[in-house]
Amino acid sequence: MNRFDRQSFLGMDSEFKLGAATLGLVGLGGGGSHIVQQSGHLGIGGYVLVDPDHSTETNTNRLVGGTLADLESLTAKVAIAERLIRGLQERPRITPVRDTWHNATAKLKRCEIIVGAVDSFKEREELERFARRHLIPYIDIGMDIHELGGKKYLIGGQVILSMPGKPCLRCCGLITEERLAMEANKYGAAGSRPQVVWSNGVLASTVVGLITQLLTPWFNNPPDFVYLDYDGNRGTLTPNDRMELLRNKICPHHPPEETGDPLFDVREFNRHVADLALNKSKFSSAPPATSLWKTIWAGIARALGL
Amino acid sequence: MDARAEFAAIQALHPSASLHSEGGNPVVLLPNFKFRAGDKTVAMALLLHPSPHSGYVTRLFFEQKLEGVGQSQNWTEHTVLSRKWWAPSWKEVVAEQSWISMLGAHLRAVA
Amino acid sequence: MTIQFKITRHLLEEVRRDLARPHRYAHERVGFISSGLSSAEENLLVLARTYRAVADGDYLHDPSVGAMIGPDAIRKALQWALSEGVAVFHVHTHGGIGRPGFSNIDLREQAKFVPNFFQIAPQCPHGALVLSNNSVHGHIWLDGDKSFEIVTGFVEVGAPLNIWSTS
Repeated sequence: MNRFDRQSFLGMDSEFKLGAATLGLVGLGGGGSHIVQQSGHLGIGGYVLVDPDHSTETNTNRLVGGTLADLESLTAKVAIAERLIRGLQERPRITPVRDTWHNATAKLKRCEIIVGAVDSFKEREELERFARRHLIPYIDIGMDIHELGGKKYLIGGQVILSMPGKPCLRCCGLITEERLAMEANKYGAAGSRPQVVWSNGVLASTVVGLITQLLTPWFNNPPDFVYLDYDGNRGTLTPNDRMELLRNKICPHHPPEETGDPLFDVREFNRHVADLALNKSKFSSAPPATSLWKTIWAGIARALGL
Repeated sequence: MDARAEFAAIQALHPSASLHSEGGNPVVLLPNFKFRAGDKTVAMALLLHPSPHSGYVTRLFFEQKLEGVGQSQNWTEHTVLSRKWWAPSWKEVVAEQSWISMLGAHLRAVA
Repeated sequence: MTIQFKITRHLLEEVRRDLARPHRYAHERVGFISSGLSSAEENLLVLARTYRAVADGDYLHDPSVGAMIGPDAIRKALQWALSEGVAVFHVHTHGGIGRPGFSNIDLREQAKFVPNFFQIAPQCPHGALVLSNNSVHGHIWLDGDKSFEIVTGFVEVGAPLNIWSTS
């Protein structure tokens, strides 16, 4: 009997594949925290968790894993996420980064999949471009609540799988110059936008389903481009029209010639690797530090003739 | 604008400049570029993006943040060409000008 | 140090389709894959970009080997590395199932021509790949003066992802 027996339909070696994978999660708020929880349950073994913030009172209506005690101690969102995962797995490989993702790119490069649960179009675009340069599938999740007037609201959102070579967020019309310009005019301030836990849950669960399709063989011919619209008023998640229209389209916004780091130089890389090896050997050949208590005890032992 | 000609002019000014591409758009890297920042001369890598980026019609990215220098404000972090950069909010730079003029116009933010 | 080679499924299928085409006298076909690169601490990522087939006329008539490409094929690949500043990987297939290996002739020829790429594009590593019908094996030179390293992992990027390690 194995704790993953109930998901054995995911494939013979699915437990191994999920355990070996590393997921990059940028944004650990309402959407990201759901994804952390589900990924931990599912058995994904590796995580790069990125978020600069700590839990605040207005997060508690939706931050999965966060408690009221976290408010007092200003617990970082990455710490809450790590705690969640460690409660579900014996030996997860977790790299928490309490910073913006711009300072975590070396860690994110090694992920099999990156999920962006970020607030701004500018961050989405740059994160997706970074993922494309490194041939990493990128999944975008977003939710918004729009006031329609007369105290009526529309809950909406989207999940997009942006696979290298396939349609991107610009192809989908999610990222446009107009949206970026409007955002820039507000200096990127997202403000206190309305957010609720159940809509985040629907979208996050969909993301985890996509992650599972990418990592395990349970689903025959999974789609390599997904664009789903969420209507929270009707309770529906439906394929956007572009999902069919763009299905065979090659993305013009991320040319294959832009794959990789254009500033990479193997000579510098070789020097860096040699320096790392030298530092490691210096560290391992240094005499072990003697603890203060050992020194004191040795002195006492000598004095007593022991 | 002929990107090659514009780049050639920049390279004449700064020989170690190199031309790259992001999203199919030309981007010019200027390593160790010296410029006036407030009352000092500083040297750092700059990245000139002569087409729309992050909601601005053109953009100049800096290797380091120069918070409070000159008229620059609202500095934001970016990842361009796989590396981290900083850029101030500076909208006084039109796209319809030579890249050299554009570079000068962007640097006025920190002058 | 890990060395991971990533290629989209679309590109790998293009490579396989081309290598499967019959040639008038060569028993095997050969091509070249250009790649971008990136590093994460001491780990290297090789990120495949595009594929170029060796033209039919650039094969030499040598019945003692599966395929022998002539100096024009090498020259064109060198030119590619120079003009685009890319890493170049020689690629061919041995068919079959399971992890493939380079033959002694493959090893001999690689050692001759791959280091030449460093004279043209010294800022990039270069190497060679051999495919089977369901796997890949690769050698990479990080320095023209030293021997090759083995590519330790491959990712075929698509839905689903196909990830395998050679270490």
